[in-house]
Amino acid sequence: MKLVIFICFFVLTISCSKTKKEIFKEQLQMVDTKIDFEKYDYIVIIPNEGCTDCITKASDYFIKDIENLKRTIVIYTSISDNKIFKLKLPKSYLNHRNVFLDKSGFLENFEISSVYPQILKMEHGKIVFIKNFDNQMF
Amino acid sequence: MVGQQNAQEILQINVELPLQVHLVTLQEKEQDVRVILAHLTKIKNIHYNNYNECFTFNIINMKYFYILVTLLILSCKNNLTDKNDTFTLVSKSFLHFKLDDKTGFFHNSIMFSEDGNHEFFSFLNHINNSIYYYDVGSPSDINKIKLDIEGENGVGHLETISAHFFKDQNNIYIYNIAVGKLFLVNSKGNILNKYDIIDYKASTDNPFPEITALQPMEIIADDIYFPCGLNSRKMKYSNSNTVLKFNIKTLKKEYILPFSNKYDNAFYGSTFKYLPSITFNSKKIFVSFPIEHNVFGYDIGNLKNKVEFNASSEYVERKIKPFNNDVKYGLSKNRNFKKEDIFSLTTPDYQSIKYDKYRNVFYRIVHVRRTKEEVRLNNLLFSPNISIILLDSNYVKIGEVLLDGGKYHHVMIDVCKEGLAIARRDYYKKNENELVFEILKLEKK
Repeated sequence: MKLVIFICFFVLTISCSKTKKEIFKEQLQMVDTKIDFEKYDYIVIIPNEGCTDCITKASDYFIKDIENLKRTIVIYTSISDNKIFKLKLPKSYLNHRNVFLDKSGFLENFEISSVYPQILKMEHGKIVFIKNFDNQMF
Repeated sequence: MVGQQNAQEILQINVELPLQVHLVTLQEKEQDVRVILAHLTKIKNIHYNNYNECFTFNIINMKYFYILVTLLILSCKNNLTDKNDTFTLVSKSFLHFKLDDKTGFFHNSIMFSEDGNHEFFSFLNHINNSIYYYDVGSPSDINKIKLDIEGENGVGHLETISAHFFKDQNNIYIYNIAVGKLFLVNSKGNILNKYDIIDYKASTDNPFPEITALQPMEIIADDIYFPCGLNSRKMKYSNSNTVLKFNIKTLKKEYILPFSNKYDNAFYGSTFKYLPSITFNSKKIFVSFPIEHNVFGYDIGNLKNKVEFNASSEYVERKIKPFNNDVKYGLSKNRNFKKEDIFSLTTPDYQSIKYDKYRNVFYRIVHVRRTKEEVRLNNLLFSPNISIILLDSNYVKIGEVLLDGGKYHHVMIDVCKEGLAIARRDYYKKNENELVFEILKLEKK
């Protein structure tokens, strides 16, 4: 009997501890249910607040190149004020099919959030690695 | 509500090793749990680990374990409601302040103030380096004072955390936190005077002003009082002062009002857990600390005749605990800042004390912060629920009201003529062209 209880608890423990990748995937699916993650090689998460310089450089890069990056999507998060956020970026860029807004802040979860932009390498819908962008990357 | 949440939290039971049990996220009733466990099971060496937020103990007999879990669930269903509350806050009216195309919802520095027969609402708009103000009787008419960044009337670039004090239309104090200077400007944005408050280049352990709508600067006669944030971690806090008093006539600067000695015994987390809030009635200055149930009052001027009174929240009473039981942790090199932040943002604190001169009562504002799970599932990190503790002029608690952080903003709160004004974040989501405040009025139950 004790052994059964122990095994149950052990299984529960294992099943309840999620990795950063798993939490990321779970939260990403909540951002927009229409996103088909299998279609993309990279997901770029850009916080609206944090390392200002890194965020500006990341945004500038994707504003310029979004048309050429067919298998990359950009998601903006930490948008505390939609009205002010929209003043910062071109309308055509914000309306691009590969640009999404995390309006409900699912990616602000502090298990996965960062003050830096983050890049998620995807393979067959699964996250392979997560890396922070820094100024050197642009 | 509180009881149900706790029961759910307790049910999350993990076993890491055969001889160890963790009761995860059992954040309150720590002492009760320890006592119950010790008495009923004869289990010894029960420890609460703040890093992992769990209780750790050795199991002697599984039978006791089942009894324990049942008892714990039952014990945590008790609510901490104060039965003596006689007053409450009721919704009286709404103020709809018009916003222009370039102005958003949140402003760190807001205030209601009187000038003659008029009441004004003002805020510092850091997006365009301006002060916006409204006659409360004409909330659709925006008055803007554009502040120069450079030149003869330059006040510098005002960051989000810079602050203002709207004394009247022609005397507005601007504190630029980035340069540590205080400016007095008129309604045209012309500088009437400027003062050096902080020299960041000087080597000093003195704290720096840190001002928000919940910790505003206050002016009494010629003295300006700045609540200050921590400049460095300490071994002992109670011999350090937390408020900078500056006299605009003599230019004398003086640090006053020491930390509560509770800070000497442990490490309480991020620096905002150390930020004081001050308020005044006609005789005394009062200071409230985030982790201290009591509020302290001193005579204005000589700071004598100290009073100390309990102003605790039913939503906080047993939840305030340190991140680490050793105050020296704050000075160690191996601090885990991420864990400190998470701990600090998921445990409640007393954020502000405000005196209402119109009704001769005090409001103590509590951030009833969300649990980790609530944050993870619903993005509620920066929308804690808000509890308003009501205290009469004799410092006796006369009520407490819990407000939904999804509707009410937790920082944009101030006393106005008609009551307590609280910004409604849900209204802004529906209409981004208005900043709406709900006025809550004190009423007998």
